[in-house]
Amino acid sequence: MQRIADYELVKSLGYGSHGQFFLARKPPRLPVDAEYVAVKVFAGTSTGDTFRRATRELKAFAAVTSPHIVTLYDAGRHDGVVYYSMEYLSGGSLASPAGEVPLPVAARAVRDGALGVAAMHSAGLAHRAIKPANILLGDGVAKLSDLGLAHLMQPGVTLTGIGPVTSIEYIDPELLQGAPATQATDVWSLGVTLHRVLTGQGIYGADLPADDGLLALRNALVTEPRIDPDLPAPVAGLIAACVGPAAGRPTAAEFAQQVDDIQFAMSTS
Amino acid sequence: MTDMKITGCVPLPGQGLAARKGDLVAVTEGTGPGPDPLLGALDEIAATTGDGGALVLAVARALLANPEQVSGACAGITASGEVAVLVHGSAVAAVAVDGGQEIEVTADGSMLPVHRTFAGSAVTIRLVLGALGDLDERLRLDGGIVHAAGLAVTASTDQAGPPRPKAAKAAVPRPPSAQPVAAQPAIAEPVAAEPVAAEPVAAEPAPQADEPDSGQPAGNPMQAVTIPPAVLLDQPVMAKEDKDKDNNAVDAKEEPYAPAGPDGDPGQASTEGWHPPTEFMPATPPASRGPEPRLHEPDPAADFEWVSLVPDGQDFSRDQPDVPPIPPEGAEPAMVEGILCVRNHFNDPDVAYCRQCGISMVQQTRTTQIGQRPPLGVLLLDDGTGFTLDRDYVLGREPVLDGDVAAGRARPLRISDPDGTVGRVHLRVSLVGWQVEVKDLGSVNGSVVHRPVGGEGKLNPYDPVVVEPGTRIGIGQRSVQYLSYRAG
Repeated sequence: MQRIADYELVKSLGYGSHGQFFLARKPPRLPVDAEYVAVKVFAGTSTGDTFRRATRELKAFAAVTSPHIVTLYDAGRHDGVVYYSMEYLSGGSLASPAGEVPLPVAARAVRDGALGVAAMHSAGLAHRAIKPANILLGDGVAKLSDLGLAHLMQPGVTLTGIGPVTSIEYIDPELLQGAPATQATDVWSLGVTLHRVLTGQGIYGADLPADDGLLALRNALVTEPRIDPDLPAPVAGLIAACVGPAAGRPTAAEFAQQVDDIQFAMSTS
Repeated sequence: MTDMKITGCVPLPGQGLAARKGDLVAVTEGTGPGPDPLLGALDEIAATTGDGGALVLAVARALLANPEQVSGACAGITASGEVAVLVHGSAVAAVAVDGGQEIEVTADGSMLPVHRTFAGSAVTIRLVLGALGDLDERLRLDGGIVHAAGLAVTASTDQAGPPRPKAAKAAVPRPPSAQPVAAQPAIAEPVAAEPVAAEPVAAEPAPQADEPDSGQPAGNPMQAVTIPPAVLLDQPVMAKEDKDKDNNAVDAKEEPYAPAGPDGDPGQASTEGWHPPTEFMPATPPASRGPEPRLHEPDPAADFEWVSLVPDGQDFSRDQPDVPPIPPEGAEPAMVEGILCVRNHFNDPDVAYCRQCGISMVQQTRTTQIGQRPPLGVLLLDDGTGFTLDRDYVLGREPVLDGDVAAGRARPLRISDPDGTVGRVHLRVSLVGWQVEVKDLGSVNGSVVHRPVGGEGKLNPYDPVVVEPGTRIGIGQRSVQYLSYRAG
């Protein structure tokens, strides 16, 4: 794809939930001081109503003021194809960083992402799609990106058929079973994201099969989360709480604080 | 589609054990003490779902839990009629799809098993442990466990059971060299596993001629599928790379994030021996699997609307700013009569195995209770999109035109089809008790049901029909499959 609306797409930045990200040149109409922006293009085509519902959620997301959430620029619909644009961060994401990321920096990025989630939760919003690919690395700060809109674009969808199916591992199995997204289901995703970042492993033991969505789904539904036993006790405890019963999960803000505390304790001991 | 079966199975003489149960096979060195992890997993899956995908997972788990490094391999037919193959240690699998070139699957000395899935209407699989004796084509393994160093297996959709045309060819096995042949370099050394450099994510995946894209139907899923190298980049290979990182980290004494040692905070004594990777590894290999994105290319000549998302921005969207709210979905979840498995999963009283965890329900008391109906499975569209079957759906190009969708009694499942072979309102999928019903909504091109057992048939308009898991329903050029979380 080379163009959408008046965006000239430069290159693909990868797949997001239910769509693809592109690096694009900023059109003159945008009152933004940047040469390049990131544009997310959703798969398939959408009706005007779907676009307006998505826009409403995006406006609410954009209204959350936090240094840990990407700035959104505009949302549009061109020949039925829905897109939205946002600031471009050159550091890549935690799933595909542009360069080497030392572990402490990666852990801090998860904490930054959690602060973005906490800001959303304070505004009464759920993110629905927290995973390493949606924590973007900027200059000294990481930002939460890619609000989950799949429930609007395709109600009931659990496998989007786009991007690696392994992103199922970040989704609370309750959601896969049809339960609504809540702040607690976001915290589940934060816990799994932290586990992945610290150990290189998901929480379902062997990795979910990358090329068989249904098998990945079945596996996620029947496997008890398993925390890497070699993780330091405080980290393991935090992750266990995140993937434990919803009532016992920390809030996103508490999660961020605990990651901070653990990192501090480790760097000073 | 699930009429894929193992139609030939020839034991290859030599040291080791070979086992077959139905459409599941395994070979193992069988030298370790105690029960063999592969044979145990084979029995377990054969007794429950019989699904090749589940076998591969169960064997992988059993192998990873087993301290001995046992070499072995397994294969089986998956619920969707594909062939799942797993190798571990020095075992080798050689697979040919529809008479094509043989692809070798090796774990290449990795500590972790490697698995692949193959689709075709005739797949030959040779699972080989080591040196082979003289081949005897009179041998056959219909079930059970025998001494053998390998198996030559033919899986095909041909119910008649061909006189093992491919098996004969495939049963001239090359013994694996002492150094197991590494698969193609592209597989052994996945670029994707390298720390990612400046380009954050793979560029546009190269278009693949035979990969269906959005508008096109998947067609007959049993057709030969050329497996692009990218698909062969397995997660386990990636995991192996992680392991290497881990090992390297042992030497990285200066790692600032290294936890406290034994002298550190007593509260963290358990951290001894924890070696974090020196650097963070991306969670998913960025270039590992680039499904052709179902992006619709907008017509440059078409106009577009846009809404500013920056504070006090402008709104250039078309009129009707008041969007009707999403129709509220039926407030109360459906209640049904069912029984609990020992792990408290709520089930259809008529099933022999728990739909969710696969445990046998035979010993359970048959006392039923009323409970909230769990999702009955997944509706899998031919483009890989999956929808939770916790509500009714209306499928079509404009499903919102359906009255039940407008009233919130069914979810819209919008299917794009530029050629218009899919009706605007085409198919209703309804959950009735523990069963799934499909009904053609008077579409022009009709709907065809392909059952896993019992052939195919065209639906009469407005005549609901119960379908079982594994059933695929063709609607115009597109298709959708009903799959339960377990078998089928």
